[in-house]
Amino acid sequence: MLSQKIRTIAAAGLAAAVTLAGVTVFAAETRQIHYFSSRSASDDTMVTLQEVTDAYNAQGGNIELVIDSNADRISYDQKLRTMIAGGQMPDMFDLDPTPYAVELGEQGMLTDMDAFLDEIGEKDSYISLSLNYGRTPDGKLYTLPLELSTEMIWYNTDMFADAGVEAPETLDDLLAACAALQEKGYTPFGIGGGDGWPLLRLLATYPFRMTGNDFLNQLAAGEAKMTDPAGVATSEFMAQIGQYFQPGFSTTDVATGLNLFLSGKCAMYPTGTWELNYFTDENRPEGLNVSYFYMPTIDDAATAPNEYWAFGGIGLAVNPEAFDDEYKDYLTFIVKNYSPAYFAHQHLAPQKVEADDTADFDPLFVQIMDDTANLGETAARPWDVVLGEDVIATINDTLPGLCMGEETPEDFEAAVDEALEANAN
Amino acid sequence: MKTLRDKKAVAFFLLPALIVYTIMVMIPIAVSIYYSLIDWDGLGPKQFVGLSNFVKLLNDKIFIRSFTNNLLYIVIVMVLQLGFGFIIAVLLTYLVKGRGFIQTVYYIPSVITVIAIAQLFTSFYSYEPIGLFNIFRKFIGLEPIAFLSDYKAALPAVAAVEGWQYIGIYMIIFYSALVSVSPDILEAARIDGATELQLLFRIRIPSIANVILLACILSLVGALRGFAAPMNMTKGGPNHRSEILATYMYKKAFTSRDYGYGSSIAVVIVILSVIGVLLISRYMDREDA
Repeated sequence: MLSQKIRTIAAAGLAAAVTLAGVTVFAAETRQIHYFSSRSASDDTMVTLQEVTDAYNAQGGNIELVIDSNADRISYDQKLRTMIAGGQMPDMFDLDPTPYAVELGEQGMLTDMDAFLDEIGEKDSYISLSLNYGRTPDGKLYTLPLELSTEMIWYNTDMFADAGVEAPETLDDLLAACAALQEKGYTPFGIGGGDGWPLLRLLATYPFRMTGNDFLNQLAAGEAKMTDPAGVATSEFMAQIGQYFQPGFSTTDVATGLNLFLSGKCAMYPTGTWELNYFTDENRPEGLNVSYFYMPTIDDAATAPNEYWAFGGIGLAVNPEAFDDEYKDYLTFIVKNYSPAYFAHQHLAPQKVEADDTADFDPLFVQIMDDTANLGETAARPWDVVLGEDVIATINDTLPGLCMGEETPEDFEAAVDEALEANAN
Repeated sequence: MKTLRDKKAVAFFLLPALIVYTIMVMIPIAVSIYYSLIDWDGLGPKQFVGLSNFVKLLNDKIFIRSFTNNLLYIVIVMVLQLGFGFIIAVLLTYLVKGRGFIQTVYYIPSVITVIAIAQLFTSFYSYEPIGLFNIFRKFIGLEPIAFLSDYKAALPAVAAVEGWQYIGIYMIIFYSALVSVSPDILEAARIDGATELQLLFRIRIPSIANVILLACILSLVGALRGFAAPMNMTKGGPNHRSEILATYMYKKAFTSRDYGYGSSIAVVIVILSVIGVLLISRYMDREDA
């Protein structure tokens, strides 16, 4: 009886050992690529990457893409930097062409994507606006774009009609529209100030219209100050437009800002094409009538009205230490197959895609495609990509106060200049 | 008892806790002290800079603001935790029915993660969509305010969250101490004509002085370590109005990649915690004498 029990236990143990060994063998054959992503897991870029990975495996590859998604951008940046400082760079991760990327590149910690795309002959397949967004100020390319995005301000057409205003063409028109909307009892702007970047986009508008990206580049190089004309103009503009944001905007995230707009509690909401799905006829709440306008301009602007926010989004960087032949083969497959798959989700793709039949596409997406086809030569560069993290942290800290009327434009300019000076030293 | 008199046996039982304490507390503190003496951005070589990070702190306006904010934060947290915890505990001693239920209800927030509590209170404080506190303000005829964006309200608003969350723990500590006071002494005092307030201030509180000391230390150190609620709810904003030492340390280390400077703030927090504990301990010792 006892020996039978022993035999049973031994047999169970052997079975477990064989199973574990099988798992081990299987695990050894499947190459895991860890992707630390700043996008949410449900984002279509992530969905598409998984689809393309599945297609790669279906034709003989054996890659498991392990996505660690971290959609809170500020938190993502902090975690990524901590992982890299701790010597644990992910195999694949999202990275903007920031001063930090320049530092990583200088230390040989990023794969040169110019060389990679030349090697596989795919560089010309990219839309230059999308690909070149990822270039650092010294012209290096360390990332592959996963999208082509433009940014606009959505507005509630019924509220605009009620207030007797039209889509603003200039920044002065925008302020006048805000005043008229507020007069009618509407909250003019629903903005996710807690996430930082929506306010930074508005801050960047005046300087871009006055100087293109020159003022920004000069700020980054220590050759300009916020007390220069473009800086003063934008500080004063932010102090004015801030009074039209929803109360509590500085701790409101983008998702809440979107919900305010979709639920008809504010008249305008700034965002990009990555949220286009929320505004289509199919997905928009019933009774909500919306339209959009691009970055308003100013009198005697240095940039054309068709030059605004357009970029490749945060790009895909690759850890050179993990980038062996198997990984290179997989990434090559991604580059060759990603854009058509992403375009099929009704998003602007970073590479040129043949779009002969758009009949099944939402009219809104088709309209955005047409707009994008008419983009000007220059696109505005985001401040949080060009300026150092300390300067951006200072702007993120002080800008809400300026918008709330708690800080004067002079206070704001002085704080930013102090951060710029400290950053230069 | 004989076993406990054996020093080797005592050491044997203490050793596991000591090892864990060393790994989880002492080594990180030692590493923080090391990092506080260097300049490092997480990428390049580490450069030894001596005490210059600490000297820099003295001229850092935001650090000084964080420090003063932290003092106010501690006061609010301690008043809520110790004050309300004690009042509820005293009231519970007079309660005959439903005591267990009330204890459980007050204790529940203590076992919920801070992030969940912070999210809950973010909704309560919200202006749009309107949160619970603003509904109440409207109900009593006051204008709603954006608590977490308001320069004056942000710090008390985030401090109140941590203060409120742990009231239950201090209630349990105080209640356990209060019921341990000998009923004979209380009964004798009652026969002598002492009022309930006299019983409280002349007998109960002096009898549980050591427990009050312990509660003060726990609350003070807990408040000094406060981080998750302000970081989650306001990120120290608007414009550092709810910035406390721990959030500033985190930002300097992990946003600005100034690991040395961030570590110097961490060392200051450790020093302040130790000083706080020693001060209270010494004060209570004097009271005992």
